[in-house]
Amino acid sequence: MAVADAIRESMSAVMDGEGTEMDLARVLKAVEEDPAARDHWQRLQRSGYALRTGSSGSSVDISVSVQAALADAGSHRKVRRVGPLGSLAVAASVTFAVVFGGQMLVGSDSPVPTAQVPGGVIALQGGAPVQASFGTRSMATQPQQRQVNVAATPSVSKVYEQLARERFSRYATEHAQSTAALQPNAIVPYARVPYLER
Amino acid sequence: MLLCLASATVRGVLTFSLFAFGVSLGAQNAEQTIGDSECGLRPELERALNQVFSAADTVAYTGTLLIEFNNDREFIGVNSADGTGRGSFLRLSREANGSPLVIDRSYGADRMVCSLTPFYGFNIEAGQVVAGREAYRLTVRPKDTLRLGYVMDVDSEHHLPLRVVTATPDGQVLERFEFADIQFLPTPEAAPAQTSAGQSSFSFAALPPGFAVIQQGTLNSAATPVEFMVVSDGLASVSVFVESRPRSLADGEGVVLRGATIAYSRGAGGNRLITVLGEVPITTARLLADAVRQRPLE
Repeated sequence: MAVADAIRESMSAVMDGEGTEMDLARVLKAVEEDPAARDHWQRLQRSGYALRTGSSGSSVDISVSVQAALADAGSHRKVRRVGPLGSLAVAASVTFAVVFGGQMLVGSDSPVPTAQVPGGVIALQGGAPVQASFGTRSMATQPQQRQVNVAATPSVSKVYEQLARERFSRYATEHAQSTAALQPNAIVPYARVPYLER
Repeated sequence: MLLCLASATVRGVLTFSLFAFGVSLGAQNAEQTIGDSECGLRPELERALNQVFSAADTVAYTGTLLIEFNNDREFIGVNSADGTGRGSFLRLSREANGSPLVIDRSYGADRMVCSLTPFYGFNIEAGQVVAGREAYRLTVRPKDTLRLGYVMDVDSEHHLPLRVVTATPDGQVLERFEFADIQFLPTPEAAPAQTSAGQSSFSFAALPPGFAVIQQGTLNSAATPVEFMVVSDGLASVSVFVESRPRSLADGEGVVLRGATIAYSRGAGGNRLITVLGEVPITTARLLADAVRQRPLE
């Protein structure tokens, strides 16, 4: 069976060190389930090895080490250095687990799937940067049926980061007015409003 | 130098407290003992909680409030009520000779302490002196990862929190409020109760445990229609804003964190932009954004 173009592109991106978490997840899934994809992956690695070293070398499949990294992260048995690629996989798996738990709390009949988009880092004045690593999908639904592949570009992520920052300033006073009565100290919500709001 | 040392000491105490706060999360259920009140709280603890949560309605004060998070700190002059049910504050670190900003306060939020106990663990112990006043320490621990925790030093006489440290469920400090000085005033007159703003054409498919919609409506001040819903578990509160987004903007999401407040904007499906703004972890913000639905036409 031929390897899908999307898988090939993800493999190339990962091999070039430009792959996203979504690319990595796609490659791992394909390598695990599709022998043809696994063969293609190994050929890519052999080619890359030959280009880098000038020799044909032996077959090296880093998906094995990445899978091992995922298993390690899941079991928390030990800390293991797996390199940048492994770190990506571990980060993806950790985020995956966190959102999985949350989705289960919402309910199993959620009709809207979770988008797969890369996260970004943004810092407001006086605020803490937050890594929004959302390369995840809803576990409340069957991925084949409900998954939405939203290939947001880095520029789109930046736009949404800016939107979040702008909406923070725009709606902070409304939020304070709506929630002040719930706080033991009703002034505190207003003190949280960014100064620029005025 | 002395000020720096004092500040460092306070931070050390708070860090230790919050560390203990995080470590002890797993043992929180042990706080409730047999023979407690209906909701599992000791009678004296339940009474104290009721006093703390009603203090905003029964106590008036003027003073200077310090807000601090990360490397940012700000002093704010506050007056909780001027006799007409309105409060005011002045950003002392931002404005020179500025005029106070008048704010409309809301009173009368219904809150049953027992409704909080499934989601928070409470403990009271001896506290420290804050702003020259005796205080006891109220620790509020979340029982899951969907809400934040609080360590409050509460005025022993008036039960107003004088110092509040907000932290993640694992004890990471997000922000700190503390009165540098405070003078209590005569009890304010009763003010109008909070009224509902109306209806929204959106709703939630489901809500995280303990949360309920407490307010909804449409923002009149916005140039384009923006609908909102406010949800709360009785302590944590979140506003969810729904507006249209340009068709040219692809799906995506972004987040900003400032102190304990998170702003999470998301565009996915239906050409809507959903912004979740509130004092909750990112997991809760994301759950709420995921659950927004167009209300069926009646």
